[in-house]
Parts: sequence; C-alpha cells; structure tokens
Amino acid sequence: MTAAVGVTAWRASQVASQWVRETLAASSAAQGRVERQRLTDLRLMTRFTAADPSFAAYVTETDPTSARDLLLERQREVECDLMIALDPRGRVRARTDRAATTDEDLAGDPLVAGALEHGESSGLMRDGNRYWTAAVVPMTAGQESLLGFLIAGLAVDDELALDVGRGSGADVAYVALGSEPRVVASTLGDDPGVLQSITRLAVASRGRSAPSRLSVGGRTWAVEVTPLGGASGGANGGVVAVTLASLDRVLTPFRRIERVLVLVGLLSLAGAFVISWLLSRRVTRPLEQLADAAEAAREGNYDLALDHGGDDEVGRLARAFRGLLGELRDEREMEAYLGALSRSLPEAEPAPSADGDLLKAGRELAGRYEIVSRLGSGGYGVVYKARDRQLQDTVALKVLRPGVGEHGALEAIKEELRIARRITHRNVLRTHDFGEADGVAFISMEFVRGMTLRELLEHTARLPHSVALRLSRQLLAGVEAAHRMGVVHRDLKPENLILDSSGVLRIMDFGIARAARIRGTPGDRNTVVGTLGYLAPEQLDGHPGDVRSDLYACGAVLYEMFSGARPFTAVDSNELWYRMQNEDPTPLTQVAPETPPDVTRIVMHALERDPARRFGSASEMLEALGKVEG
Amino acid sequence: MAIAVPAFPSATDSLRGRVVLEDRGKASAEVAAAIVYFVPDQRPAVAAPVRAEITTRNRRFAPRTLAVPVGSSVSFPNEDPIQHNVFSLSPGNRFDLGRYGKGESRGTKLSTPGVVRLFCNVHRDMAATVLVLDTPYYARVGSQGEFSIDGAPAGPGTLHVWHPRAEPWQQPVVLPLDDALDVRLSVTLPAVPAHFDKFGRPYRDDAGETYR
Repeated sequence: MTAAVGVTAWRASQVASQWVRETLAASSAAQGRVERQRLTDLRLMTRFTAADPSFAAYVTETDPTSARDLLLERQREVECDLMIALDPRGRVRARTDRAATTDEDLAGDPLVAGALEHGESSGLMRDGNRYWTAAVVPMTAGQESLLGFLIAGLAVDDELALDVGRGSGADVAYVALGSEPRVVASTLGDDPGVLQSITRLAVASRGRSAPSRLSVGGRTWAVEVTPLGGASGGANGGVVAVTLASLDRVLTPFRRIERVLVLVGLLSLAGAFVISWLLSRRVTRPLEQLADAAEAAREGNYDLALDHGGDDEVGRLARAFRGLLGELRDEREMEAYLGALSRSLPEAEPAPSADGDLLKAGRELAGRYEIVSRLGSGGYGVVYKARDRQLQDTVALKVLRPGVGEHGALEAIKEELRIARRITHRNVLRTHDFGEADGVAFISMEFVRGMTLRELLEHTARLPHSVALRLSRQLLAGVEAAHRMGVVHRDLKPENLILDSSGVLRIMDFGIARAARIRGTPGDRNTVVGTLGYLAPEQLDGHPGDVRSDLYACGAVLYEMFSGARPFTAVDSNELWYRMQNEDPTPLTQVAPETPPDVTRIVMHALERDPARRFGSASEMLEALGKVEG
Repeated sequence: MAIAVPAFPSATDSLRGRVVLEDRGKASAEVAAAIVYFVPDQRPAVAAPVRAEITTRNRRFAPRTLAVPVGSSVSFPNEDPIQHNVFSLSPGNRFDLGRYGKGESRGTKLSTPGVVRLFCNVHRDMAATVLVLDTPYYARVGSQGEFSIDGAPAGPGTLHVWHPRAEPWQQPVVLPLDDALDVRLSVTLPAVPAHFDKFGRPYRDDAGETYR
C-alpha cells in the first residue's frame, strides 16, 4: 500500500512537472499569440480608420466636442477601448475616455514619440493607472499634409487575462512595475493576499524569470514571468505577464487517487484479517473436534460426531480418525455381541469324530508339534490344536486327508501356500508352514480361539444388521488383500471364516481349494453339498474360478448373514446344482424385506450368474459396503 | 404643412384620406413621414417657392421628409454641439454645405423637381429626403396617417403617396371624390438608404470590420 501511494505520489509529481512545463509553455505561446494578434488588429484597424479623409479632417479640424463624438462613434464601430486624436505635434485634440483637457501633450509618451519619429508605432501605452495595447497611426490630407495622429487602444484588463488563460489552462496576471507596483489585471479575482504575493514575485523577477513556485493561502502555483508589450515593456515602468499554473488543480486527481489507495489498502488489510481469521477457524475447529473426539475415545466414547471435512490434510485426518473410531466402535459392539452370544452357547463339546481322528491327542508330529486337541474337520482334512515346541506357541494344524495329496497335488499345494503366506492382513488367517511327516501332510496355521461363521449362523437365525455389515466389510477387506496379492480363494464359505472373541473375522484356507482339486476329485458327496451353495455357477461348470467367483461366494455369505437363509433352496444337491446354474437367487427382499435397499443391491449384484455382471473387484464391492449406513 | 394655392375657381373642397404603413403586419408610426401629392392632368399653375427648414438635432435630420415647390430654399440650422456636413448628390440638386457647428445655419435652393436625398458626410446614419414638386397640391400626413389636400381642381389626375421606406404609390383619380381614400403601404426599404459620401466614395466599411 505504501508502495502504491509512493508510486502514485512519484507519478503525480512527474505528471505535475510535465503539466507545469506544458502549461507554462502553452500560456507563454498564448500570451505571444494574443499580443501579436491584438497589435496586428489594432494597427490594421487604426490605419483603416485614419485613412478616411473625412474622418481625419473632422477629428483634426473640428472642435473637440465634435471630434470626440466621432471618435466615440468609430470606437464603438471597431470595438476598441480607447481612441485619441492628436495634432501633428502630439497634443491631444480629443479622446474618448474623457473630455480633453487643454494642452494635454502626449509627445513624451514613448509610443507617441515613436510615431512622431517613425510615422507609426504600436505597443504598450500607459495612461496614469491604466495600460493599453495601442497603435499610433498618422492621419493625412492627400499625400503630404499631416493632419495629426490617431491612437486606438485595447485595455490591458481582466478580459485580456481571461483570453490568454483560456487558451492555456493557466492563470494570468499583469503586473505593472514602476514606483507603485500592482496587479493591473488577472484571472485570479481580487484576493489581496494573492495579488500582493504575485506583485512581489513580479518585482523580484525584474521583468523576467524562469519557472518557480508560489504558495499563498494553501494554494500553490508554478509561476513564470515574461515582459509584456514589446518596445515600452521594460523592467521599470513596464508591465509583466505572470503566468501561474495551479499545481493544486493538476495534483487534485492524484491526491484523490492517493486517498482512495490508502482507503482501499486499509480495507484490504481489514478484509485479509477477517479472511485469515475465518480460514484459521476452518482449520482449528475440525482440529478441536478431533481432539475432543480423541479424548472422548480414550474415555471409551466412540460416538462423537465429526464433520466430514474437506480435501485438505485436516479433512483426511478427520476421515481417518472417523474410520478409526468406526472400527473401534465395531470392535466393541462385536465384542459385546459375541460375548453375549458365547455366554448363551452351550459348552463346547469335543467335535464328533465321525470322520475318524487322524491323530490322537498327545501325539507328536514332525518332532515339533504336540497335538493338543481336535478342533474340527473340513473337506480337506482335520484341524488340530497343537503346541509348536520350536516357537513355544499354540498353532492350528490342518492335517490333510490321505489322498488329498496324491498325484502330485502336494507340490501344487506347496506352491499355492508359498504365495498365500505372503498375505498379511488382520482378516486373513496366517499360514505358517507346510510339512510332511510320517506320511501325513499338514499345514500349520495361526491358532485362533473363537468360532466359525458357520457356528455362529447355526446358533442365531440371522445376524443383526450392524454385525452382519461389519463382518461383511471384514470379509471383503480380507478378500481384497488376497486378490491384491494375486491369490484367489475359490472356496469361501462360513466354515472358512473364523471369528475371534473380539469379533475379528479371519479367512482360512487360502490357496488350498484349487490345489486340492487338481486331482479332479470333488471329494465325497457330503462335502460337495456342504460347500455347493457358495460356489459360483462358472465353477460348477468346471471353471477354475477367478476373483469374481470369490465375490459370488462373498455374495452368498452376505446373503446368509443378512437374511439367515441361503440364496437357493433345494431338496438335494442335484436340484441345487441345477438351480444355481439356471436360475437367479431368491431375491433378498423376499426373504428379508427389512434389509436396506443398498445392501440388497450389493448382495444381488455379487450373486449375478454372469461373472461379467458382478462387481469388477473386491475393492469395488468393499467400497459399496463402506457406503452403507450402519 | 399644407400649402394650397387655389388656381381654378372649380377647386374641390378637399381631397381626404388615410395612409397606413405596415411593418411586419403592424401599422407603423413611421407613417408620419409620408407625403401625399396630387398632379392634375391639366397642368396647374406652379406653386410659389417657399422657405423651409430642416434642423440637425441629436444627429438626426428633423423633419425626415419635406415637400417644397420647385425653386424653394431649404436651410439647415445645426442645433447639435458637434459639426455636421450636409450634402446631396441627387441629380439636378447637388450641393455640399461643408462642416459647420452649433448655432450655425447654411442653406441651398432646390430648383429641379424630383427627390432630393440628403446626408451628413460625417455621420452616415443621418438621412433626409426633400420632394421638390411642381404641383401645389401636396401635404404631409398627420401622426395617424390622415391627410387632407385643399383646393385641388376637379377633374382627372394622379394621386401620389411617397414614403422613404416604401415603394412609391400612385393612382389615377377623378376629383372630386365622394369618399376618403385609404392607402396601404408596406415597409420594404431600409431606414437609411445605401449611399456614398460626398466624394462619391463609400463611407468606411465598418460592417464587416469588427475588432476583437
């Protein structure tokens, strides 16, 4: 702002000095032009009037009254301010400004003297207090006889000053020097202070000066002094023209601009303060909220509302924190739910050993694992709780059924597991190792104390919406992590999903299904029926299945979690097989009308028979689930 | 002024009427400068010369118009404080009285019938007209334009009305007339006719030569 004001002031002074130069030059030119024009016109007009012999004879020969009368008439006609008829020796015969006094002699006037000597003259003429631009011309009868002289004059008055000033934009004052210097005429009115200052300046200039400054009563001018009236316009007794260029006038717009600049600057500053305060409020308010929420969360309250925030860092932080709070809330709710549920469950019984135990408790395997108890059995084998002596940890050992590893399938399982082990995600059960000992092939895995989703579903007709939604998200999060690593599960089903006591869902058996099938045997008929409901139609056609097959399976699991029912119902596996390949699943809205429409949409979308019409990826489906309220 | 010289016993009582001078649709008071004269077809006896005066006063000729019989003398007393120079360039009656001042009077004899235009050589705006007539039956109209000529002979003749600012008007009439005449004139000429100074040169041309 200071810079702007400074630049304006600097520019103003530049423009002002330029304007002063131009104005003074223009005024000087106008002064010269008007003066020359006045003299030229006067000479012409005076010669013309004097050339009329009747006029000349009349004003020189008649009585003063008659002469004055005619002079007045001519003066009116030619619109000058003064006419004087002189006799051949320069004595006044008649003059228009007053009745002629006897024996008034103008022979001593420099202008008249010039005419007496040279026949004609023109220039500045003084008469008492008055000044005239005048021409003196002889009046003759015939060629020789001189009758007298005719003087015509134009007053040096305010009108002349205005005339000169009008052409240049400057003020003009005519100052008579001499014994009593004074302003004779000006465009400046009659302020005595101003006129006195101008008079002093004119006297000091001694007739001519370079431009200088004059300040009177708060007004400032650039001033130049030039002599007026040629021949008689000397330093002493002459008249000088004082040209005044008003700096106030030229600087006024700049002063106004300066004021506006200062005002605008102050307003901008004030505006900037307000805006930055508002901006800082925008940043600090969400931060305050976050801090409040964090403190509340420490105290166990996860339900504080948070604004959505923008796209900036604070917005991201808010979203992340909201997600964190959501997870904490989920976890706590799940924990509460599962806690309540587990209290209502009957005491866990030892799993029936219908399939026959492959290993007895207490048996040692591979010199490393001690079988603790049997946890359950699946399509590919029996799962035991075991003690890993090497790592001093409890693990789960999945002992593959004899025959699963035939025809080189074990090598394929190893290869698949090698990849699957790389998946590290809280919703994917860690697979530790693959081993073979004493003719038994086994996989060691992370041991989780909890229950499978299947067990949960068996004890409760249908999961509460919020629990189902949270489990769904965990399922998809795990699947998405696996898919990102290029691992497809191909046999997702409630039996493969373990929930621990805090409600964390883990997906088991990544990489096993395909490898186990390499031999081309779907296992015994019961096993097939048990998992048939979650296989995608293309898998039923013999297709190995891809990520979209997993999404189909997820859809089936979700269907069951939200409704407590399976997508297809059939009396036997043959009918189920047929219906899954040829029919659409029973609409979710039909079996569970209270399911939110967006959940229904997601589930049914995942259950499309044509893989191309399902979600394109797990992350896509996870994102859709993330948007579901609840 | 009406000078009637009864020349015939059969003179009519009077020839009466009224002149109206219209200036832009209005009756002008300048009508008072009009002169009415009757010229019988049978030439009457010539009127006796008279002495008349036109004064220069306030830089004007007064009266502006004058009718005199042939051979009359007109004098021009100057009542102004300034000098005038009365002259005329009218054919047959040229004269130049020169400059003279207040209280002086100079005169001339007008011996040729016709219109004599008078001017001042000093003051261009001064103008007057003298009608030099060879009939005794003439009169200046009154302030309202009314006129009355006495003693004109019965019989045919021409009635003339002359005004310095209107075209000359004339009409054959047979006296005596039963009714008063109404004569309508219109202003068509300037107050001061264009003229030269006594040397036959233009006065200084001040019309276009304005100063400043």
